[in-house]
Amino acid sequence: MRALDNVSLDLLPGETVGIVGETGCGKSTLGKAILGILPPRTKVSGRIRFQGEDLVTLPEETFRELRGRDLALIFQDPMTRLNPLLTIEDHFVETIRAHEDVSNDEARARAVEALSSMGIPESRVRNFPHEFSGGMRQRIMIALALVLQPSALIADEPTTSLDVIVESQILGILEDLKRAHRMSLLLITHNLGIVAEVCDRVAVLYAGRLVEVGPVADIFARPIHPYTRGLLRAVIHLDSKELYSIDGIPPDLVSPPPGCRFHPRCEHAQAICHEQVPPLVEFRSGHFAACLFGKDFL
Amino acid sequence: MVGATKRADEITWQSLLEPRSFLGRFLHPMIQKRRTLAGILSWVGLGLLVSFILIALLAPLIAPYDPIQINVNEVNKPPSAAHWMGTDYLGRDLFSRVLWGARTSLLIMVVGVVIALAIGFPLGLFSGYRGGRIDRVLVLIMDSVYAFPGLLLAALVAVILGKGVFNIGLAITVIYVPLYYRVTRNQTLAIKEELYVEAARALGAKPRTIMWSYIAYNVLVSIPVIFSLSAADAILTAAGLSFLGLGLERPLPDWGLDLSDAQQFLDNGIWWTSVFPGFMIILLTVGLSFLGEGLNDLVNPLLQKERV
Repeated sequence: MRALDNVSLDLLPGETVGIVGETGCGKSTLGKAILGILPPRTKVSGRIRFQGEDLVTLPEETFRELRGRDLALIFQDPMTRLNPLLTIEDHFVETIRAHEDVSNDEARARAVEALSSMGIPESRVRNFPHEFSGGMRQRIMIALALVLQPSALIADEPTTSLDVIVESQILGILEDLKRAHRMSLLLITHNLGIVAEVCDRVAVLYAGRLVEVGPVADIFARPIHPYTRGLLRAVIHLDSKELYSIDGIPPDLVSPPPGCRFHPRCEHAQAICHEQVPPLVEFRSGHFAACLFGKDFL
Repeated sequence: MVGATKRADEITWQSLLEPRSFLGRFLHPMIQKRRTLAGILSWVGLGLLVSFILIALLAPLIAPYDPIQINVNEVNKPPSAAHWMGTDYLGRDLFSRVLWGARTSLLIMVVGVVIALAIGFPLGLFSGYRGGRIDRVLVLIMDSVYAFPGLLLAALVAVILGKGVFNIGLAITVIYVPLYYRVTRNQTLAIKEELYVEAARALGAKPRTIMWSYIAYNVLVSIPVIFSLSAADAILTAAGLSFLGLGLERPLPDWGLDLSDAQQFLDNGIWWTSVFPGFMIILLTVGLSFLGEGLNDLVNPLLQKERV
């Protein structure tokens, strides 16, 4: 099964790119592929260039050193991402010492510092993961991912399992950190509101393929691909009377439809859409879309 | 390995009782749920085990007589003030023999079960973590050993190795290696897929750290339960081997051996030489089983839900 097909994306220093798409379209797989932590027998082909190196061909030990130090990932479910038998402090000490040759005491001091910047008091650092709430755990995960100040962070639905208040706190924290360290952020989400709020550019993923990439303002104001337009119409507004939904279900990636993968659900599909795979074409400056009839929707 | 990040001065009684520290995982529910059946069982079991360990350690001090001293004038005497449990067919004080016998039994149990754990645990960990062909071959070997009747296998090994406490321990090891291997391997397979293992990889944890702090440590939590249950079983097996004359050499004080000697006198109404060593075997086995079953009920969340 091909979870991702021909996905090409840039992430510039200090930039925030949002990846949006439905459940099962390959968003999380993309994040894990970049970090090289897909299950052992998964095949990744192509190139993932990071700081001048191709991550796909990087030897495992070099890649391991890079993970957590230069490139970090925050997962979507904080409840199950911490080792239940280790204290919070142990997680930090282990992570820091996996990358830097520092003493336990120094690593511990940095753990306390990183945690207090996330609002976790020093008195709690020796507690175990189950003693924290979901929001606290997510802040711990973020502190852990950022303790070595990576230059790029992949956040895989960092706020999905949290309530809106904690969500805005976490997004605020990410914004501050980005500004402070000129960190790049790849934000994987299905929440378009978050994308509009924090992202510079957005990439729309459908059934493992990119269908549209471009600046946030441009995509929100003038989307090109029918899928993106459907997605944007499916958002509730205060004055919306009826919620729009895209008919049909996302295709099974084991046997995806030929041609444009969106054609079975597309209102504008023509015969040619069943056969020809649409290339990603630049319709406006920096705004790409993979639709054969893209210029009709400009 | 695991405690490496803790300083010695931090390890206090409080930290041991921390609900998620290794000991705390067992001690905490034992204290919290001491009034439930499982809590009572585990405390009774622990009490019995500790008493037997004390008896074994203090046997030279508390035994009133030399356990192998033959006294032809005091043969087969019933329990009395001088000999609390009577004497056996060689006039040896049974009470002293029973106390010293605790030493033999615990020694065999520790040798047998600890070596089985020392082999089965790393092997299961390696096998489950690596997978592939090595894993399949190991499973096949372990399953074929496991399918063999335990006592028969131990008897076979005992015959090959010869007599002696250590050899009997090794004979028992052979039975329990597959048990620890299987439990460890299955747990490793499950924990390997846990999301916190993936998260650790994403943070660039070293493979060694993932193996020990993440997988092995979490697997280890399920070991004490089967440890006490298999220890109970090991005591019975050792006694069985002694009873069959395959285990230890006379005049070493051993409950199984004493039982074996006692049976021929049972017809003559000499009950005490059978009852007391037999009672000790039962008491120690029951204690270990109580501890194992109690802990299992306390720490296994699946069982807790079922029994509510």
